[in-house]
Amino acid sequence: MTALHEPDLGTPAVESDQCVTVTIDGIAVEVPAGTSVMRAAALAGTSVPKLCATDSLEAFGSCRLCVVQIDGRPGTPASCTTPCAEGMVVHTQTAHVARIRRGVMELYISDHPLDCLTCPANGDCELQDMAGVVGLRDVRYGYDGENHLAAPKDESNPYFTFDASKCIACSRCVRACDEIQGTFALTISGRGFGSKVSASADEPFMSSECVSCGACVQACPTATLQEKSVIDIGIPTRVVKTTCAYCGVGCSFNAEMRGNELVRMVPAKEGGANAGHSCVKGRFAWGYATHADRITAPMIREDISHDWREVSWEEAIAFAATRIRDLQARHGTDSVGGITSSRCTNEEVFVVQKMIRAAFGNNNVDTCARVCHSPTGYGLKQTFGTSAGTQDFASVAEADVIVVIGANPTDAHPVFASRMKRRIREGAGLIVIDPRRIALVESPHIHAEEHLQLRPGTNVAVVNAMAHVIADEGLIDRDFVAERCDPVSFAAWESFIRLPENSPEALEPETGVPAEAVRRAARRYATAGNAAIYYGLGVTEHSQGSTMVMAMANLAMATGNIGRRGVGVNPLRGQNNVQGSCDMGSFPHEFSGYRHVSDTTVREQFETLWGTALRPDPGLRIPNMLDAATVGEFKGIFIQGEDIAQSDPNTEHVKDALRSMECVIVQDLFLNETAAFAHVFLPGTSFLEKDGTFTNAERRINRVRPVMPSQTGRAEWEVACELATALGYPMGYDDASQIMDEIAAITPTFAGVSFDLLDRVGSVQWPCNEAAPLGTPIMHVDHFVKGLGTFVTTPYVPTSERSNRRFPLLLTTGRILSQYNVGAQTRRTANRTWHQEDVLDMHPADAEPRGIADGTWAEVTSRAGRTTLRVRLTEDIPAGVVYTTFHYPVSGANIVTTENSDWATNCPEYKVTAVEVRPDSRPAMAAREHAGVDALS
Amino acid sequence: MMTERMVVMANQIAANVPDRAHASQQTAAHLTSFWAPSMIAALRAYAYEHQDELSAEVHEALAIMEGRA
Repeated sequence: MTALHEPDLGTPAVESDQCVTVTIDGIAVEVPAGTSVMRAAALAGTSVPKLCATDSLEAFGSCRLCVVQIDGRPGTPASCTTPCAEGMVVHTQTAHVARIRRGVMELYISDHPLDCLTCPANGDCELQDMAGVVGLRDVRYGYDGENHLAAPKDESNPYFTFDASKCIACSRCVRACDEIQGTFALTISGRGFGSKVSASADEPFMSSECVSCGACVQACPTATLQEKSVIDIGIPTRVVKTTCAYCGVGCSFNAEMRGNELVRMVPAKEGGANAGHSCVKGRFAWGYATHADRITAPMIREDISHDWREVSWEEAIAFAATRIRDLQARHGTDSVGGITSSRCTNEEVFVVQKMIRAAFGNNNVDTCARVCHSPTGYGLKQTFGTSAGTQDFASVAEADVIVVIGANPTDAHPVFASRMKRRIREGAGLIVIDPRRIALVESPHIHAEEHLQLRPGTNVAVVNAMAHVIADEGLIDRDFVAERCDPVSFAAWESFIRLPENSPEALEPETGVPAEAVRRAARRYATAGNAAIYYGLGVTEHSQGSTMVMAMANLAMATGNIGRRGVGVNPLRGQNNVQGSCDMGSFPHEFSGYRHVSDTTVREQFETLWGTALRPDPGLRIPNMLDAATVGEFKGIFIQGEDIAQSDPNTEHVKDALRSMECVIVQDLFLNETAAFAHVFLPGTSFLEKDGTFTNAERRINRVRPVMPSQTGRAEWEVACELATALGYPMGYDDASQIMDEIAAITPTFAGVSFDLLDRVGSVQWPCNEAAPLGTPIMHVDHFVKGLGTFVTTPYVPTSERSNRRFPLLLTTGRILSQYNVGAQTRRTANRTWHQEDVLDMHPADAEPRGIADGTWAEVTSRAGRTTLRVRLTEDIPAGVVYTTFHYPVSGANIVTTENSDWATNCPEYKVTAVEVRPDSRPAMAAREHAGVDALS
Repeated sequence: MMTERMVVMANQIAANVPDRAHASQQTAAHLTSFWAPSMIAALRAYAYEHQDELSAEVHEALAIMEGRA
């Protein structure tokens, strides 16, 4: 069922340069050519009854309820499948069509349970509505004929039921799975009266190919596909529009409520990022927000060996402030710092970095983007002039070739993946560059033209080789380069890239990718017309992550694939507010808007606004803080919404560092792994309680609205303000909108942003200022932000983390669809049903000689540490490579990863760890260590 | 500071800065832009005592930052 109170115009909008005027029930309406009569009628204010039609799906014309009469045309055509023509005169409410509609409805109802009063969709059912609309008063055929009323109910999915007895076989669910999600898990099996919806080969939903995105549930016009939360709680009564708190797609949702209880999250059709689509996490996995594990009262303890003591906010703040000041008195101003979180709002992040710079008195502030996309910020700023992706998500609909590098969108950014798959089904080419055979390589109606299955760690070599081919074969767009790019840097780059050492043939032994495949991919990218690059952490989390970002930017500039729709260089951000946390000045060398702290003009602006002197030199990054802690030089840290003891590499080193500190302040929802080393726990708020904004991977600033009261009684930004004030730097705002006003006042790219604007227009993409009052969907259109684009030479420097006799395999890590990051949220939902433990993917050719069978335990050892994981044999990864996720603390994936990092940004090299894998019958070592720490680990 | 980590990081920067003809200058600029002064000071102190652990480009970069080159 579609969201409460959202209009449904029946068929999708049509884009056309031409318009036609039609008259519907006496009302003239002008619509784009190709618009359906049904949609035109809705736009004219007339509602045509419908069941199989909804404006998120192409017209189908099966239910026959929407028949109309058209002057000069015979019969009663379906209004959903009939396009408007100039001068057409339509009658939607004649006695003739009314008779037909009643007849159709009689047939539907003769095979439908008459349990409306006890049905969970009572009051929110299109079939019920349409029965009323057509004036159904009787069913002449009776109810005793052959029917489907005894059809079984499938309750296998944890989030929704499939009650076949209520199905009217309208195919909306099937079409939603095909057209919107692109999974093709559903079908109508059988013929005629025997037609029925089947998941995969008539399997229970849970064991089918269904990915639980919820598109079918949303499309269903009856209670056939129904959220279990609605069955349990009832129909929602109010709606609050907000933004998902999972991945960097940043989907807009209608939080549908009964009182202060959340009933369901329904993707908003007008959401700029998701256009009415969702994934299993955003749609269903929100139960963590009210999970019993939530800590809602502040706690302190003198020492981490002591038990926690629940205290008032005032006592917790005073305790934290006293400790921070004491440490600074004893060890220096720079002995403390903090980390902001990409799961928090822009406003919360801005306030924490301000607290550190102004109240702590140093620039020791960093953010979790350090360990994911910091190379994106560095690389795109060097080449294009700003630290962000170039396109909006909708741009992919105009791409002719899509290059996916080091990303797995179907799992990590599923809603954007659906957009991408739709474009590929329309005919766009696909090139995948990834060591793993990700789902995009081969799935229903999707086939990658090229899969460059490179060895982990050789990204730069592969992209340099592609650039070499483009330069060598005369495929450079010299007009674009001459007009838009710096000629000196281009000349240097061209000389470099044409060196024989950068040819695909020379690099094949290093990358493992056949030279001819690289050449085909390069030619395709350069000659496609519109070629777009999408990339993820498989690019950034390498020792040459920043180099790789610049290499991709070079490729886009050299081929003119920048500055218009359908092209660009696009990071797929891991967490919901990675872009925003970076924008807000979370890096130790930058104020908000990516302006260096050494810039006197900028710094003086902040000093004037904030009324205090600020430091002109960079502070410590996260790994620097941790390193300094282990040698006793860094003593206190404020950690906002992060679990570095699980998420950061070389876990034992992280724990040693935390253990060495005298004041660890954790602000979080749960007592996470990091909280085991904390002295102060400040309970945080879930996204359902927050008031503020998130900025997604396409620079889209979306409102996050509180749908229920804070469980802690405090907004997180209020807590940071109180701590700053207790430290002697008075800080306070009346509400979150005032914080955004301050951000806008001091950050040129946000100059036009306000809560008022966002409430009026929905969302905007920065830059949003006087020059672009409604934002900037596509960047670098006429010129680069820095003027001329800068080519950067990108020599390939192999990582020092190489396989060897002791550690002959390369471990790479990632995430899967149902889980998110360290799993603190998703592990506390029914998403555990799909993924109950992290497993080690291993190629049979590596497993067999080691005596490792599918499903058995194996010990994974690196130079940093060891852990034990269950093995899954698969040929989706090449021999010589193993893969795991890090969603469960017990798996200890990051015990194994090393301190190796990107040369420019210190982003950890999670994607390359040399390991050995041996059979192991023991339980996970990490499990024993974590026993009792996290009940859900 | 964990000087052994800083040595690795500094050498890595010097090996990766794009303009190989001006690697020392670029290394100096990178360290100035992104390293906390305490880290640079610690690296400098370590460099005096452990000449052979840092690459020539890093030594030159430190000299540039001190105004010695």
